[in-house]
Amino acid sequence: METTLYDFIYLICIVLFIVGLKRLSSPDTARNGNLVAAAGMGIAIVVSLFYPVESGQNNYGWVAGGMLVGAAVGYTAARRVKMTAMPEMVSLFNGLGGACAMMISLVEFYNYPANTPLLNGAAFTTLFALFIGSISFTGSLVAYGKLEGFLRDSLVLPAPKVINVVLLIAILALGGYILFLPDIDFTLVLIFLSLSLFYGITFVTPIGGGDMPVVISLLNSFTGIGAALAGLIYDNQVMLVGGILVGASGTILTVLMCQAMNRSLFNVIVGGFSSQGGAAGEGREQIVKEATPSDLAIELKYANKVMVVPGYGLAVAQAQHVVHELESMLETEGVNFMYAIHPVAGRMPGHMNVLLAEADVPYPK
Amino acid sequence: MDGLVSFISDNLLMVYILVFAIFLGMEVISKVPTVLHTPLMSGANAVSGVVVIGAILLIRQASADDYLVLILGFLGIALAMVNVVGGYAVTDRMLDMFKKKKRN
Repeated sequence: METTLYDFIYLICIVLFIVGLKRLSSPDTARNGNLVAAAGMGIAIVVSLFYPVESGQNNYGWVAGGMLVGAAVGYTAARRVKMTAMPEMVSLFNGLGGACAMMISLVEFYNYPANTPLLNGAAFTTLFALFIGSISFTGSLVAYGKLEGFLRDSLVLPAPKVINVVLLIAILALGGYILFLPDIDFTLVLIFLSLSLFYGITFVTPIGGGDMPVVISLLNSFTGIGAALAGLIYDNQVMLVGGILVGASGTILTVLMCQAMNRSLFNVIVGGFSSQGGAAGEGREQIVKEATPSDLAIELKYANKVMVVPGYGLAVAQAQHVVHELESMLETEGVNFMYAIHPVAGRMPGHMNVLLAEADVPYPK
Repeated sequence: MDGLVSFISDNLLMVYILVFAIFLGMEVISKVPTVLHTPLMSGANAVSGVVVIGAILLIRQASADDYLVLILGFLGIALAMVNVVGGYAVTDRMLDMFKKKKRN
């Protein structure tokens, strides 16, 4: 009876998530959608603080401490980060979510009752969550490192494909072995954890910079699945639905991004180093700049139509404001000024649009 | 195998929810303009921070002297909160930029 009220509030949170994501997918309502989803999250967290638990001593001090520290760090980081560094930030945040799923599953195994066979759904789910969470954690950190420039693209392990396949088989075999044991073996679980963490690294390392956004999106959906599995463990609908929503939408988003780059997902993951779709726009802009500034100025003034193809370099140089000034100047001269934005220009699909918006460039151009 | 079968039958409702949520997730997202991919990814990323609830429940069920669980749970909450708060704040900042130009 008592939990019914809480479960009902959880349902409201689920609805808020769905509405929020829906609104996020249309330009006019996106900002509002983000707030709706955030409200859902806020309510869900508050309810979880009071949700009746069977045993335990609540330990509110630890809960409050963790929440305060996390919220403060997250908020500060989000406020301070530069717009050009956004993809790195998202990747890092995502990795932390994965780490949380990993820790939950680890504790579940730590608390697993002794002398109970593991061949049941709960243990399977927990093991899967451990696997997914760890990959998402280390994978996102590698992605972060690569985008931030700590890790060079050239840093590739020998024969990455072989290593990945061997590791994956080893993980699956060990996982199966753990499940068929009559009793929990925590050491094996730790080995499983280490292998999964390592797999996350080897999985992302060979993938080149231009494909990073796709990987981040994929890892994002992994984290979602991890959260959903944790929801199954706790019989918690909010976590289940929230996680799966992210898992499914993240997967679709990943596929959409691949389509925008004319690549298949398989190609991106297996392909390793290959053409960088995102860099395509930059080359042309630089050719134009080969002309001397004064020549260019004359040409621009007498042109009827000018099209700018902005690339990531422009954003790093903070040139979008200058481009915008140029635009206003030329438009007073009656020149038709347009932007051609490559779908995956910048570091993520749509990233360039965000960067241009920073300079008040009207966006449907 | 019995374990898995009984798990599914015990949690039939959850399995139903799971399957429906998969379709729902795909349906909600399927018509996004490319412009919004980055904010959407960031927003979805923030939603995946729901995992923080698991960590909260976990820590609340632990006994007060089980420090390993408490510390792991504490880290879990802190990390997931970074994901949640940071995720929403970053998304808001990005979308804020889209909105500004509308006023002009």
